[in-house]
Amino acid sequence: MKTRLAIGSVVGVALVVGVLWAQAPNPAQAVAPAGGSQNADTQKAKGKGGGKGRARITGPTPRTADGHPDLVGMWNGGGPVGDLMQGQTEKEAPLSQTGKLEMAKRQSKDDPEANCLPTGVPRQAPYPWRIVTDPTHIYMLFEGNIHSFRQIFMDGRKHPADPDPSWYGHSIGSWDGDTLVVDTVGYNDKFWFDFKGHPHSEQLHTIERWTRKDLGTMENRVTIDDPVMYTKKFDVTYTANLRQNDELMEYICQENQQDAQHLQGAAGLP
Amino acid sequence: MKPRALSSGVVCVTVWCLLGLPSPAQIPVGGRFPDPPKSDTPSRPAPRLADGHPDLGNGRGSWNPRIIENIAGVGPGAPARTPVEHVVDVPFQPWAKKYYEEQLASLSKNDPEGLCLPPGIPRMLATPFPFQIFQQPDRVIFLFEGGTHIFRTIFTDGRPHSKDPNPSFLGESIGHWEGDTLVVDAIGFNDESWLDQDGHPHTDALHVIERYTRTDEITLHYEATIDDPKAYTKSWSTGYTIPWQPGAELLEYICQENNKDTPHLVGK
Repeated sequence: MKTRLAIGSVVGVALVVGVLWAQAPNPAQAVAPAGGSQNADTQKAKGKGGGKGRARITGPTPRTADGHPDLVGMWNGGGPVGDLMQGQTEKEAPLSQTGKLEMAKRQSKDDPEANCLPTGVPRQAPYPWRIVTDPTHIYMLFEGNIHSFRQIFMDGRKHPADPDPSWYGHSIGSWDGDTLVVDTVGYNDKFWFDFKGHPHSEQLHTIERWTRKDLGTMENRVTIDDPVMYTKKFDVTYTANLRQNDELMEYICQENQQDAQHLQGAAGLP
Repeated sequence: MKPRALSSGVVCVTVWCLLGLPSPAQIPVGGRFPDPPKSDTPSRPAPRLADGHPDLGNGRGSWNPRIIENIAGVGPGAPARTPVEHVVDVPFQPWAKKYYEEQLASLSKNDPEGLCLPPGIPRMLATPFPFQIFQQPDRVIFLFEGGTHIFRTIFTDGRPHSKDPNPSFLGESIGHWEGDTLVVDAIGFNDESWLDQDGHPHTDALHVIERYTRTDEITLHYEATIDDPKAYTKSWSTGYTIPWQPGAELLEYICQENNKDTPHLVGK
């Protein structure tokens, strides 16, 4: 039986690792050492795990027959875990007064991710994920993050006039040159952007710009537009790293969940 | 916002099954969508992909499984709520028979699906939420709306099973084509799910062989052979059809969001 540092069903591991990741250097700059998972990688990238490093995967961006970058593969990262603003030029998000008040009252035990609910967008659980494409859809399959999936429609449709509020919203994608642009509305207001509890409302509108810079690296620049919780639109940028020759494991958060009951105190980096 | 019959976040299907208790004849056996209307016109043949294999959907619609309470075709909901092709005299091991009868007697109040755990295999294909099948070059991917909003990967790149797979709800699945049938060999299960709502158990020795055949445009024929020597003295099988819903898309169903089901599963 294989083991992975992030054993399914214990979110506590996710928390610890998420903190390590949040404190780690920009993943794009970090050397990803060999290891069973990104979690091991992250620890090693911080110099805590020892072991021999593995160079970041480089090479030309693969392309599909129609010339677009081929995003298919298994990825780590690409979104915030501990702190939405980690690694950003601006250290503080432009929270509105409403946003500040909401964030100030959040308690760690109420973090939806710790209660086996989806991370929403753009947050990532510290587990790998996979992109799958077909001519009319792009899917993101998540190992963690309740082992669920997100669907992005690539058939040119518009957003519905009144989408059901949901954790992943209603996502439509298009290509802008070599960048996949994903426009999403129709979110619920329940998920948090990070451990710290950065909030949003149902008026959240995100535009993700996914650019596969080379074989091993994909950038995600996200515009966050939520006039309720923030005073202006702002951009945050994250990097996802390719994992080769690996497959997603089955992670069922709600199986024997022991985490939420142990979380104490105000939301933040534990 | 669109209303829908099955509101997300509540495992209302199970409650409805267990506590509503209208006569089976009054309960539609369909999934989230009604069955297609009966027609005397034969359905068109199954579409095919460029590689010649039948097209199992690939996002142009969804498969709409019916509720199947008991894959052996027996139990209190039979036959209306067990639309399987044949009744099985299940070859129980003694403990498994006792376990199954206990679940029946308690109205399935300990059903793991009521706790928002994945229904496992074959039950993912008998829980009334639509699913989609995507055929990729090296794998076939199932996306399930509900019964937990998860995905399943079936490797079709010729790899063998792992020597010692991690026990999991969906197991490790290897597929290949036999003519127009996708044959899936699945092992590596944990023992935490049930084979059906009535509580047929399985152990970590479970080995399921599934056969998926799109017999015409609107019909997926499904067959599962259950081989679990720790629970059953010999292998046995179930089979049924799953209707196609053209153009149907998956909604987001998050079972564990505000689950009100468990406190209401009280048995007798």
